Formats: sequence, C-alpha cells, structure tokens
Amino acid sequence: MDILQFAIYGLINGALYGMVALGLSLAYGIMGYLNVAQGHLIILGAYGSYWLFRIWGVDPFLSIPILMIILFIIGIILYMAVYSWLLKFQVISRLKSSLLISFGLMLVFENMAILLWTADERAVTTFYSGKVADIFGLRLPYIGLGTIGLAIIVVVALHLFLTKTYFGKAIRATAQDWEASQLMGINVARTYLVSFALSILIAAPAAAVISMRVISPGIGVEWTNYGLVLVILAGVGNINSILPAGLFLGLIEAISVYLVGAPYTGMAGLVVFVLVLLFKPQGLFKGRAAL
Amino acid sequence: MGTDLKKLILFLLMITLFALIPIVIKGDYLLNVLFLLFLYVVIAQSSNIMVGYGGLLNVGQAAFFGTGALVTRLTWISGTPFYLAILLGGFSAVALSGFIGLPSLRLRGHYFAIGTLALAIIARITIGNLFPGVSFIPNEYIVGYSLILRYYLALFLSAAIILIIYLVFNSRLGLAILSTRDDEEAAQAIGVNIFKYKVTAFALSSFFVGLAGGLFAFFYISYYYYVPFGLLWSFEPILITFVGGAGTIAGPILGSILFVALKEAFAFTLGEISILIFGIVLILVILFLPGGLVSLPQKLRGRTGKPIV
Repeated sequence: MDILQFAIYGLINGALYGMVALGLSLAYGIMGYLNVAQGHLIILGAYGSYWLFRIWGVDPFLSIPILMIILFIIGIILYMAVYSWLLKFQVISRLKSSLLISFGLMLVFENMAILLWTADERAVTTFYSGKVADIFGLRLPYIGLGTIGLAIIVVVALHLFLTKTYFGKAIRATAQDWEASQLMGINVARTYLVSFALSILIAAPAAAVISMRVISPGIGVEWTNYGLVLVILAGVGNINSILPAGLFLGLIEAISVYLVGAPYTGMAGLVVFVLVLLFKPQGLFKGRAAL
Repeated sequence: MGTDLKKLILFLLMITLFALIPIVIKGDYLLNVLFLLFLYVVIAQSSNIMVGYGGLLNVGQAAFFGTGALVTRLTWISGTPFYLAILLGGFSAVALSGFIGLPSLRLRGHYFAIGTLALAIIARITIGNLFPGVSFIPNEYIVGYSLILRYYLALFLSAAIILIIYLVFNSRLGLAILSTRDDEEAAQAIGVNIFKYKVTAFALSSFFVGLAGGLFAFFYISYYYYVPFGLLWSFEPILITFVGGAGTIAGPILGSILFVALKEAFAFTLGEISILIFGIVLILVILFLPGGLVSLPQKLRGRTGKPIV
C-alpha cells in the first residue's frame, strides 16, 4: 500500500514535469531552439500567480488564463527582441546560439527576480493546500488531482490546436519544411512568432502549480533540467510522448525515494536519463513524432 | 614569425608585470581580485579548449572543477604536501573525464551538452549528500596562510594554460582537434581518429579545470563542500569564452577581465547586477558579434573576420 502512495505522488510530480517540458519540446521541435531559460520563465509566471494571490486573492488555478496572457506577451517580446535574430543563422549554429542566449536570459531573469523580490522562498497557501481526499486509505492531495487534470487538459488542447486549427497546421508544416511551407503561402515569420509565444504561454499551468509548491529566483534551472530530461526521454520533438515520459520519470523518482530515500530524489531520474542518452538517444517512446 | 615574436614578448611582459605587482603594491584587495581573474582565465581557457577548439559544448565543467577541489582539499588537509595534492586533484579530474568522457563523447551536439549538464547535476547532488558540511582548514594552516603564494600559483597556472594552448594548437595534435571541430565527417574521411582527439581535448581541459579546483580549495579557508560543484562553475566559463571570443587565446582572457571587473564594480552595491549585465552583454555578443569581443576591432574596420566556431 505504501508503495502505491509513493506512486501516486510520483504521478502527480510527473504530470507537472510534463507540463514544464511541453514548451521546451515545442520550441525545439519547431524552430530548433533550445530555450534553457524556460524554467526561469515559468518561475516568472509563478511569481505572477503568487502576487495575483497575495494582492487580489486570485486562486492560482483561476489565475492561469491571466498568466497565459502575461507569458504570451513576454514570449512575443522575447522573440522579437532576441530570438528572431537567430533565424539568419544556419540551423546547426541556431541550436548552439539559442542555448547560449538562453543562458544569458537565465542570468538576466534570475538576477532581476532577486532584485525585485529578494532570494526568499515563497509559496501560495490556499485553503485547500495540504488537504487530501482519502480513497481506500490512499491520500490524494487536491492540488495533485488538479495538477493531473490540468496536464491532461493542456496536452489535449495542444493536440487539438496543432491538428485542427489553421495556425496549428501551419506550425506543423513549418516544422517539417519551412521552405516548402513558404512556397505554399504560409507566413513563416508569423508562424515562428506564434509558435515561440505558444511555447512560453503553455507553461502557464505549470507556473500556477509551482507557485503552490515553492518559488525562489534560483530554482528555475531545476525545472529546466526536468524539462530537458523529458525532451530527451520522449525523443526530440516528439510532443505526444512528453506527458507519458513525465509520468514515467515521476514514477522512477517515487520508486527511488521509496527504496533509497528522499535526498537522492533528483538523482534516479538523471541516472535513468544518462542511460537513455547513452543507449537509446532517440528516446524511450517510439512512434511518429508529432512535429 | 614576426607576429609570433611580438605575441611572445607581450606575453612575457604581462607575466613580468603581474609578477611585480605583489612587490610594488601593498594591500590584499588587488591580489584577491587578480587571483580571481587568474582562476577565471584558467577555467575559461579550459572550456575554450573544449568548445572553442574542440567544438564540444561541455556543460559539466563543474563536476571536474569540484572533483579537483574535493580531492585536493581532502588530501591536503590530511597532511599531503600541497603540490602533490593539487596534482592529485588535476589527475582525478582527468580520471573522471576518462570515466565520463569515453561514453559521453559518443553523443553529438546538443546531446553531449545536455548529457554533461546532467552529470554535473548528479555530481552536485551526490556531493551535497555525502559531504553536507563546511570544510575548514586546520588552524596551523591558517597561521601559515600566504596570499602572495596563492597569487603566484594562480598566475603560474594561467600562464601555463595559455602557453600550452598556444603550443598545442600550433602543432599537429591541435590541428587534428580543430579538424574534428570544423568538419567531423571530412576529418574522419582523411583518416583522423576523431574519438582519440576528442578524448585528448577532454583530458587536457579537465586536467586544468581540476588544477583550478585545487587552487580554489587552496585559496578559501572555509566553504561548503558542494560549492565548487555548483552549476555556475559550468556556465560562467562558457559564457566568458563566448563573450571574449571562442577559439582564440585572447578571447577568454578578455572575457574574464570583463567578468571579474563587472563583478568587482558592483560587489559593494548589489552583487547580482554584474551578472545581469554580463547576461545582456552575452546576448548582444552572440547576436551581433559571433566572433566575440576580440573580433570587435576587425568588425569596426569593416573587414569580414574569419568565422569562428
């Protein structure tokens, strides 16, 4: 029974990891950008959620639409100010340059957050924080149930957007072959802009959930790290496998906590990750890439 | 050869100048700052060997820096003569690079970068759990603490790595490493053993990072054991290298000077502004000056420089 309880916590964490990784995977699959500042952007969003709660008492789950708008605007600005310049680079150096630039952004965001909000750890405490539903002796935290629900909603919504709408189809076409897409009359520049902003705003639900755990300027890199691990586990650009990969990683971690103990939580996942990287670099999850 | 001679004279002149500083100027502040500068020159040049000359974006430097620091500190404190201890630190970093490098070098491009990052995090978590406390040096060591000795050691190390990079990359070995960076397939096609040269670059870089870690352990009287394993020791040298100019000798030196100067300029206000500014400089350099700051004069004169990396 105990291990089942651990597994439930693992799945909840895994759902959150999945939401964190979606944006990274999108930007990588569509534009070949590796945006390691994603975690820091999520933390910025989490601060947004925190202040919305503190000042106006907005519930973190309800703040998600507002966060999406804020992150969308940040994404547009970032793209126009920084990332759009990278398009003139060759595809191969685009990756390295985007990596370095997002290193720079990491430094900027992290230190901006320290200057604005100090390095203290904060968290939103709602009236349902820490409350659990008891089902057959298993404790299911309400926030955790909300996290899993959100993850499913986000993944389904993204899937519908990419497969059913004009913009989504344009994004997929551009990801496959931007030159051909341009010849077919797709506005590639605008598609890149939208997909980059999408890769940022899709982090809003993750930001809201993280604001109910713990936020501090320095933890962005930890979330980026989870995101990167998932991008590789799922197979680069394979968006449909991000959530399964996240749940898998969450379970691995939970089992390792059960067996080895909490101090090594982050390690088991990373060790699995390194093994996958070495022996199965195309990712654990076979199947056609979504992009 | 004329320019080579000029470079050599400039190099020797700088070394002499820095060597004279402790004799001419009294006061610890400048020596502390310059120590930091030399330390950054060493780790930035090591990362330059990897990414600038070898084309390998190693984000795991922190693991090697930390290993060098840990081994040096533990052996030194337990009574081994320091020079032996720091060499042990350097070689254990090389051993780690062999252990990690052999499998990880099979990865290419971003896989290598992310893989080495993961290893650095694994090392950081493991050390944080195994050695949760603060490392102090024994009292009798504090009594004999000499800043000037540490200063000269750092100066020596940074001069040594510059000299070695110069010698290596003007030799057959260096050309082979460069060829794996520029076009792996072509190099392989004409019979260059890519794997061997990548391992060589990795080992050379790790050796100096390990020594730099040893210097860190020698310099600080007390620090948390996990501090030299912190991810910033991976990120900062890479950023410094690219801001200055990857694949050049002057680049990482220039980058380190800018980095340490910014750090010191804002040290007494809010320590973090310097890193924020450095981040912005980095972004601007990557976008508009891909050759780094060293290519600025060339760019201003309107000449198109040789593409770097």
